This record gives sequence, structure tokens and C-alpha cells, in this order.
Amino acid sequence: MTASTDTAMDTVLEFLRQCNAEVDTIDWERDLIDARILDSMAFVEFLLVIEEVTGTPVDLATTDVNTLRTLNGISATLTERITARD
Amino acid sequence: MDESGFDTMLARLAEKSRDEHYNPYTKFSWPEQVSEDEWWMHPDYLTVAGTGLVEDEKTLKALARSETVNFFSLHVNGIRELMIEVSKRIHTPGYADYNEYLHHFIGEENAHMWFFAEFCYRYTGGIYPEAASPLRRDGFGDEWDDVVVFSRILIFEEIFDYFNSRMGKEPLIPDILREIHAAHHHDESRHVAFGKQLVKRLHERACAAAPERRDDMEKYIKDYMTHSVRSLYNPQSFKDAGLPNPLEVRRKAMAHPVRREFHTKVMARVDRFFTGAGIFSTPWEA
Repeated sequence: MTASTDTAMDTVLEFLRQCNAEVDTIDWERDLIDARILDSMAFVEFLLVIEEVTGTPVDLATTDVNTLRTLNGISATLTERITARD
Repeated sequence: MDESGFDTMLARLAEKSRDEHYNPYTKFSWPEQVSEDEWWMHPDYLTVAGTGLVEDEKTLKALARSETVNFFSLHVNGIRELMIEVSKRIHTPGYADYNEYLHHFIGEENAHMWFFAEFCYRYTGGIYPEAASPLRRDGFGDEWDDVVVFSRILIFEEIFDYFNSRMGKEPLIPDILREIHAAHHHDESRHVAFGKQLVKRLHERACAAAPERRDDMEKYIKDYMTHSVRSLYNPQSFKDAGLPNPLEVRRKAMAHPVRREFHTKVMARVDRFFTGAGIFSTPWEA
């Protein structure tokens, strides 16, 4: 991960921590919805956080939201979006 | 409220709906245009009010326009989903007591949806799309899902009424907007009275059927209140008002202490209801 991806991931983790502090102890392969870190309402807000930290809009027509259900998936998405942006 | 009190209230509300019925399609005199020099929303009710994030009057007026569109769009998108849920329930077992009034409710909400959308299409580029979650919400079970639907309607109506009751007598805004807010406020007072009693009854029924889900429901309703408040801060509104960093402005505005105090005020009445009815064990926190 680059420095900007690290910062972006920190911001996402801070958001998820506000949803449920247990995110700090969760396995990075665990499904965040099943683990009740995120729910359908918080997910709307979560997508805006992803947009802000990557500086790119999340188009639901072309984004597979399943890739955002684990911390590893989120991290990979941030890397991909930030690399494409820069 | 006991059984006979509830029946009396339903009969009274249905009678008022019949007496005060109007044709939404002929009620308003739509002007050719609504001046962009005017405030479409009082500046004190903009999402950046009190934050110092936007000072320029021209930008604030643009934001008043785009936040009017957002506010009306929230109604159109929100009530569509809730009308679907109410329509699924009317004339089904368990709803016999409420059928008569639910017909008025659906009819009146259909009218509101029309005039809010009509304003946006006549004078702006139309309504904003819904910020829908791509995830499906898990059900709580039949009885609790009824509580979800009518609690959401109540929260939704209370937020709208906070703004409608004030904007409906606000001399600063154009006549057509004042009339729309006033008409909605007038009808919603009946819906809120009905909704509170219905939610109480549905909650008691759900507690009897599946008491183990009570805490989950309290959390869900509180999360919905938070979600509803956040929906007032639409990045598209900030973008359409010409703000260069819409997501940053949104985040800073939402977190500002003045705004958190405002959120508490907007939600005070419905929060008191949920706490007083024993649906919440502790008040909602902005």
C-alpha cells in the first residue's frame, strides 16, 4: 500500500469504528455485514467515505459492492482506485 | 390510549381527512418561474447554517435551491417506498381497524408526492435520485417489520414537519414554496397523530410475540433517525450549489457542534415519543 492508501484506509477504519468498535479485532477476511459492523443504512454513508478518500465516485452500476464487504476487499479497492486516480 | 379512545381518534381523523380533502392538482397556482434571487429556504435551515463553512450569499442562495430539491426529493423517494409497504398491509388480517384511515393516508401521501415532484420538475432539473443502499435489509419478523415500517413513517413525517411548520409561514420564501410547505404541514399533523398511536400498538404486539428482538429494534430505529438526519446533507446539493469539495463540506457540516444541536432539536419530538412510549430505553443521540 502507498502512503495515500494507508491514510485512506485509516479514514475508512475510523468510520467503521464509529459504526462498531469491534472492527479493530475483526479478521480482515470476515464479512463486515455478517459481523454487524455495517448494515444496509450505514453502507450508504460508507460508500460516500470511499468516494471522499479515493476522490473517485462509486458508480453502483459498475461497482461490485461484494468487494467492499471485507477489510481486505476494501483495502484492495482503495489501492486500485487511488492508483488509477494518480 | 384504550381501545375505544383509539377508535374515536381514528374516526375523528378520517372525518377530518374527508372534510379537509382538496384536489392537489388544482390547489396551487404555479407561477411561470420562481426567482433565483429569492431564498427558496430560510438560510437558518440550510445544512451549513451556523457552521461558517459557506459565507457567500450567492452560494447560500444556490444551496437554498438545491437543498429544497433535496428535501422534496427525500419525500418523493422516501414515501414511495413507505407507500408500497402500507399498500402491502391494507385490507390484510391484523389491519382491519386501520383500513379506513390507511385509505386516507395513501391518498394524501400520493398527493404530497405529486406536488413535491411537480415543483422540482417545473422549476429545476427534477428530483434527485435516491441514495439507496445496495444491500438488502434483513427482516425482523412480521410483527417487528410492521413496527419498522410505521416507525420509519413517523420519523420521516416528524422531520418534514419540523421544516414544513416553519417554512409554511416564512415570509422570506416565494409564495408557491410557502404554500407547499403549509399544505404538507396541515395534512401531516393528522398522520403524526395516527402514526404515534399505531406504532405504540404495533410495538406492544411485537413485544408480546417476540420480546427478544426489542433491543435490536431500538437500535434499528435510532440508526434510522441518524440515517434520516444525514440524508439532509446530500453531496449532490453541495455540488449543484457550486461548492468545490462537496463531500468535505458535508462531513464538516454534519459533525459541527451547532448542527448536532440542530439535529437534536429536529428529532426532539419523535425522540420524546419513543422514550415516553417505552420503545427507547435511552434517548437518541445526535
